[in-house]
Amino acid sequence: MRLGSLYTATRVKALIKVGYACNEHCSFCHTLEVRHIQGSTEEIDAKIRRAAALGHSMIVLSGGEPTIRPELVHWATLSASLGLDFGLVTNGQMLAYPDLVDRLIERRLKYVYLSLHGGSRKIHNLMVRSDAYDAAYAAVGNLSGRGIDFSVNCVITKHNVDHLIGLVDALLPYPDVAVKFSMVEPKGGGDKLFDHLMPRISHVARRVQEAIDHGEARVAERRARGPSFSHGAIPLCLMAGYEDRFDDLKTHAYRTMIEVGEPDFFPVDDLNKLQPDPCRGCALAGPCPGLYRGYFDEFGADELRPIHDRPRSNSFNYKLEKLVSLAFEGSSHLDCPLQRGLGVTPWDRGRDLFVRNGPRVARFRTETRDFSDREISTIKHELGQVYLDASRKPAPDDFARDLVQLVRSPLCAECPERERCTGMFEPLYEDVFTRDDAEVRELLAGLRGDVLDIGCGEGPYADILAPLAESGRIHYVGVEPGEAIVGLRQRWPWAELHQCSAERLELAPERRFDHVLILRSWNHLADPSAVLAELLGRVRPGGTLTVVDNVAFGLARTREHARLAEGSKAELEHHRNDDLSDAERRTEGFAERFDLAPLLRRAVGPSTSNQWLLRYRVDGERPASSPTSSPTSSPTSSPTSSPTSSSPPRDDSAGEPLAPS
Amino acid sequence: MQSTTSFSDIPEAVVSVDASERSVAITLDAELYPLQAVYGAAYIFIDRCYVFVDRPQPGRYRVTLAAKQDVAEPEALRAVVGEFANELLACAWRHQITQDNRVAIETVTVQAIAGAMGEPSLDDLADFDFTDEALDDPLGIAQSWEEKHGRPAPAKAEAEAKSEEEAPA
Repeated sequence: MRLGSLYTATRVKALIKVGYACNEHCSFCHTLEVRHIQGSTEEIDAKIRRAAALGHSMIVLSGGEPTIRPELVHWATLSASLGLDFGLVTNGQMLAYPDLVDRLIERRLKYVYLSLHGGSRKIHNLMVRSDAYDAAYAAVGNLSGRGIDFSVNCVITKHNVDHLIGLVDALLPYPDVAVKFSMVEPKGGGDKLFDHLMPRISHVARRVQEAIDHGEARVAERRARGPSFSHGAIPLCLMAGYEDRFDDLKTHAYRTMIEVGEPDFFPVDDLNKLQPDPCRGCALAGPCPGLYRGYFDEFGADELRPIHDRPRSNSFNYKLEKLVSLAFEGSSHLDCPLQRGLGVTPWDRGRDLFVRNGPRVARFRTETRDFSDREISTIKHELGQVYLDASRKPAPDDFARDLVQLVRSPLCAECPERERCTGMFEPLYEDVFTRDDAEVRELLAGLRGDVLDIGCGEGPYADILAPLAESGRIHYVGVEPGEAIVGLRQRWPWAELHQCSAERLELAPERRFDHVLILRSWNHLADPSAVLAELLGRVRPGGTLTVVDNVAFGLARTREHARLAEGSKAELEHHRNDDLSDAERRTEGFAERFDLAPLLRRAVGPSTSNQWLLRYRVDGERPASSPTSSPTSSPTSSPTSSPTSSSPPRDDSAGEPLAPS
Repeated sequence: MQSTTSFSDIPEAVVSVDASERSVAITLDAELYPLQAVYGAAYIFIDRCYVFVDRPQPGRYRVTLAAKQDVAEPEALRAVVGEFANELLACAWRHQITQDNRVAIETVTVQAIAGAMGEPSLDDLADFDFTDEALDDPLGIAQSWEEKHGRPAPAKAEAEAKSEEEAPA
């Protein structure tokens, strides 16, 4: 949390680059190649007006160095006249003039992000290749205590990585300063002088932690309010224990930015970074910045330590922000508000959500950091898993009743911007959950023999399983770590129940099953590979493994509803949000060992609920002509569910059968 | 021959007389009489006297009035001193009044001019740039790095580098 600011992080900012000239020449400068490019006064004026029209609450000028522009106070005046607050990303030198600071504060200067790369002239001036330290440090004194949201950013290169504590000490007198340590980006000067500047990320992480520890200890000793300390562009797996101090454009509430010469604002993004393959399944994938692409290209991902032992959320909220129209009557993309005035470019493809319901059009927005931008976009567009929460519950527990699926509007069908636009969505009044779960119910109805159900929960399929068990057609074993099994013991006298996790299940060595079910508990397993290794060996030849679970999804809610939901004390239970492909990757390693034959696969898509299904026949180590099971296990006899059925297995998601095994 | 003296009713430290030179020297306290008032009073005598103004010591002015024509009677020099003193007081008083009324005079003047232009419209107010003052930058901070260090402008540097690359070996 940044101290001393009158503003919360929900103030929405637009970043405008006014030009790339600068009164410094930082060795790592992003705009090294374009310093000659300047935006005209008229261009910047127009962009300030556009930012106001788009609903931002603050414009932040950047560059280059915006304070060397003679129009600086004019732009602050224009911004204030439009009802906007004013901010600067700056090297701070011009803010050494107290009069200028006063004039800007009179014109609603509320945010300053000032660069200071060392606590001494030697370090800072070496980094910026200019005699700048005195003025920059004087600016810190002029800005502190003025009620400004005030950050001091230190870019870390080889030159200053071992001198961060000096900067901390220099800023200790200013309790309202938020000190941020940022890994250098291999762009512009950072790319041209890569070998000269680029430190190893693991070393940077260690030094940043030392600096933060030092700073926080000094603050505690003084019983002061601050400074506060944060970090940016460092993978979170290297900052264990410091994850909550992560800081980026989104934590500063930037929504959009615009470069010189660009026609419209575009959403802030992390396209200059990536989460390489080792990060797949990491519990911190949501908020983690990953590695700069240029760094990865040179050094790879060997330093990363993905986290797999923490739970993840399986849903996120889109909060209602604005009613865009109450009388919309369009029938094609030509009438769409995004084509007429709002624009396509400024809206984040995943995070912004426009919903039309009859004549009303509303805009929602998700600020979740539980999921990355890419994950959110995939969930919204490729998987089509965004729902309107029609309930008032903190968490929906009856999806069929509580949720209405949102699908891409027919308005978008012929739109040339369809693939890059955030899109218009409309409610689909169809119970996709009941429809898709019917297939699971059909599978269960056909079971015969010994059934092992991993994660039976509160027993949602009791109506199917109870008659089978009571008539002796199945012998049911249920496993559930939670307290729900206590109630099942009373309601299911026909079941053998074990209260434990799948990983801790203890069975007699000779115990065997005809069918193993993992129904909506796959993503709850801490170690699915270990569970598969143990259980697949207990499946009799010709038996089945059936896995069903949900992908993550978005919920569109009112702000009040979202507030209630986010304030609830529900604990996270998912260790991951595997989709069908992820589950297939995990079972792939067992295919040869246990002779798995795919029987059925249903993926999630825009026309389905969020539930996927994967079913294998387990032929085990016995040859295909060996005798079938012992008298204690009844072979399945229903032709529709028999593992030995001659009918080809189905892939309902594609509508075509898989090849016979 | 030393002929400096004084008038009997005026301290010698204030006025000294040189009868042979037909001149009088009047020493003034700078805190009582602003320089503008000294100039104003002295100017009145330039047709009759040669006028010299100097500063014999900090906080003091000295005005020397030398008659251009023979002065027949000593009383004539005494009259010059008296006239100068009265004129000096009048100038000092006018100067004081002007200082006291500066703000009021400027306000009335501005209003008179503005009134002649008519009241500003809402469009005028919306377009009025209250920030027409250039950034005050006595330290020369708002100067590009290239200008400050005598390096070519970035576009020029790029063009020069390119032409060097393309130049024949």
